Parts: sequence; structure tokens; C-alpha cells
Amino acid sequence: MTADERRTGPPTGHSDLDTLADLHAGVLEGRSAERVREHVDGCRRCAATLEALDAVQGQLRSLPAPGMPDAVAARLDAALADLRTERPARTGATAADPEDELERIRLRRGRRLSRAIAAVAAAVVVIAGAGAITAIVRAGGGNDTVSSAGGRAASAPAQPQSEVPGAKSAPGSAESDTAGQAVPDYDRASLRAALPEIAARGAVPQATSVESPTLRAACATSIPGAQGTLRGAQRIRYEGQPAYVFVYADGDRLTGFVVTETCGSAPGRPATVLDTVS
Amino acid sequence: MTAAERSDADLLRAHAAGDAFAFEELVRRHRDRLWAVALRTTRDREEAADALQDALISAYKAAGSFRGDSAVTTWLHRIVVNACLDRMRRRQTRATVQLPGEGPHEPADSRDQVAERDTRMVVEAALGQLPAEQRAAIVLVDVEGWSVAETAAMLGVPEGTVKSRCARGRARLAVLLGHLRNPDETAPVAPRTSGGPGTGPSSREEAR
Repeated sequence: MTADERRTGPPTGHSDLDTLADLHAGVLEGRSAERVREHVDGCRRCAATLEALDAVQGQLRSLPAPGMPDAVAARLDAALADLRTERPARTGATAADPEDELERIRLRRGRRLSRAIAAVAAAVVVIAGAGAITAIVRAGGGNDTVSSAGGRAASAPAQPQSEVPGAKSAPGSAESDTAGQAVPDYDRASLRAALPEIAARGAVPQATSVESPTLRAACATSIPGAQGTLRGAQRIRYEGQPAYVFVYADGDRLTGFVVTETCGSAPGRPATVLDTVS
Repeated sequence: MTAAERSDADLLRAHAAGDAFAFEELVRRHRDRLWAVALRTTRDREEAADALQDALISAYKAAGSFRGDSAVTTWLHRIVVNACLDRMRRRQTRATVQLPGEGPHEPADSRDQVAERDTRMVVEAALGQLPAEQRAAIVLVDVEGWSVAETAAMLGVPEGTVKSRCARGRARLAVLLGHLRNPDETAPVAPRTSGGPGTGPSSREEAR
């Protein structure tokens, strides 16, 4: 007698719940399945048990998707942005030790209370990282006069300008494509003039902008007094000081909020606004 | 070609080839489903968030080794579910039933909505009573709708094991949800049963 036969018992007897569940799930095969099925066909009680298992499946199927909370989404965005900005563009054998990196990211979890705001800081990193690849700084609104050391993202490795990949600064071109080194230096008047351009750039996925809706939302909630829709963001120097500008559109009105390089004084604190330009 | 036109496999290849934004695009496509699986497997928001983050970091690094033997979604789910189960084994977390709402600060619902939500809460709570590996199988097959074969690939076990875990899990849920009186009394609760009061779905599960 096989184990299955012992469990299913004589052909005419009731099967236990586990056996019926096995039949229901397709675990039983061959003769064992046949024997149980023959019994179930003539047994209201066992047939009703199978219907109960169907009902369970129906209830499970109708459970709604829980939806990822914004704070979790912001945290994931931040973690992935960290990976993107702190590693070489090409993943591979030269990558840092994965365990070290995991540990480093785990340590960061100590700041759970400030996750959403930490995402703002990550947004800054995103901006800096995006800048390393795509910074296309039009000279129209400012002067590309910042020294490379001052304009470089804090996490970017030192790199001679001549080795910047993809540099295509044709003479006379209005664009200066660098590895995040050419940061426009604005004053109040020149920033005001550049607001439309920065706002327009925000729509380009890989431009120097806050690309993630979640990060955008986190930024929006951390800048005191910001109203309307975040349209673009740009890493800049403002009157010589490293900063970011977030451009909001409220109706037709564009407002630039110049915030400090770290966005706020500390994780969990609102963004520190240096100036508001509109 | 825009990101929207790229397949999952295209995005993963692009990421492995150095595309800085491809992986984030891939994650954006699937993260809600991955989150649902992580949350229902771990039963704890913090654990789920940690597990999902660990899993995605692992996937980010391991993308170059993806061979295309399975769908990218299957591969991602496998990494996420394994991260969840690993964390649960390590920490022996207790279930904290907070699903599916946001807790006590939800806006007031109509009576029907309350009843519907109560029912969902009961089902979620019952799911929380299952052993983690049974629950993972049930979540993937019955809640998320993956096939047994896909689930087997995600869990890294034979298909027969998935079926068996689902069978055990459904049987236990049938009792927990009141469809059946108890494991030894297979008769349904209504309307023609004469069984005694339920004794709870305890010993059989562990014995098997």
C-alpha cells in the first residue's frame, strides 16, 4: 500500500481535508486522484469541501493591491539613485565589493524617521549625477566661470577635464557639456532670466532635473512656501555659493527657489531657501 | 527608441551595458507588484521595504548574469521573495497585521466599504497565520495570479512543492475563513453539517 493509498483510504470513504486539498491543487495524480475523484463525484460533503477551497481562492484573488507608500517609493528611488551616482556607469568586474555597498546602504537606514526628506537629499544627488552625464548648461542665463573643483558633485571622483567622456563643446556652441563641472553662476537678475529655460528643461527625462515623481513630491513638501508644480531643477552657484534652484510654475508665474547644496540643514528639516526669484 | 518601447529584457541589457537610467525604468514598471508580494510575504512594512531594497540592489548588481532563461519579472520576483524569506528566517519576525489600509487614520468609509474592508482584513489576517513559505506560494499563485510553473521558478522549488504548499495553505485558510469547521471534519460549515465546534487548524500542519 502506498502512502497515497493509505491517505485516501478505501474508494468509498470520505477523504480528509488535506487529501481533498491535494486533489484540488493537482497534487494527486493517477490512480490516487481517480479514486478520490470517484468518491467526490457522489459525495455532497466532499464536493462542498472542494467548493470551499474554490471560495478561498476567490477571496484571495479579490484582494486589492496594497500600493507602495510614497515613503517607501522615495526610499527606493534614493537607493537606486545612490547606486547610479556612486558607481561607474558600467556595471561589471570593476565594481566595488557588493557586500561593502550593501552594508553602507544598510547603515543609511538608521534615518528611518526622515526617509521622505532624505529623498530630497537624494534628489540632489540625482541632479548631480544626472549632471555628470548630461549637464547641458546654456550660457544664456549665467556664466560658466566656476572652477571645476567648486562645481563638482561631492561624490564624483576627481577627473581631469580632458578625460570627460562625451564632451562636445564645439566652439561657439551655446552648450558646454561637462561632467557636472560647468555649473552656471547666477545672480538674482540672471537667474530670473533663466527660469523659463530651467523650467523647460525639467520636462526632459535625462536633463538636469528632478526626474522621479516621488522625489519631486518629496522636494515639493520640503521647500517652505513653494506653490504650484515643480517644473525643473538645476544645480547652480548662486552668487558664488553652491546651491540648487527648483523652479515652480503657479499658473503662468515661474518662481525659482534657491536652496542650499544640502537642501536642508539636516535630514528631516525643511529645505533651506537662500532666495526666491520670480 | 524611447524607454517606453523597450522590453524588460531590453532594459536589463541596457543597464548591464551601462545605461544609467534603464534599471530605474525597469523597477518603476514592476515595483507595485513586487511591493505587494514583499508586503504580503513579510507582513511588515519595514521588513518589506528593507527586503525590497536589498533585493533590488542585488538585482542591480546581478543584472549582467541574467541569462534570459526566465522572464525578467520572474527573475525579479525570485530575488524579492528570496530576500523576504531570508529576512524572515533571520529575524523570525512577528506578523503585524496592517493590511491593506493605512491604519487608524483612514478616512471614514460607507457601511458597505467598511464591510468589504473588514472582509479583506480577515483574509489578510488569515494569510498571516500561514507559515511563510506556504504564504509565499499562496500569494504568488492565488493573490497575484502567477502560474504554478512561474511560481516554482520564483521560489526555486519543484512545481509539485508549489502545488503542495498551495494545497496546505488553502486548506488551512478554508478553516480560518469559516468555510470549513476544522481540518478533521471536512464537512462545510453550512448548511448540512453536524460536526462539533472547530478545534483550530493546529497540529496537522506541523505534522506534515
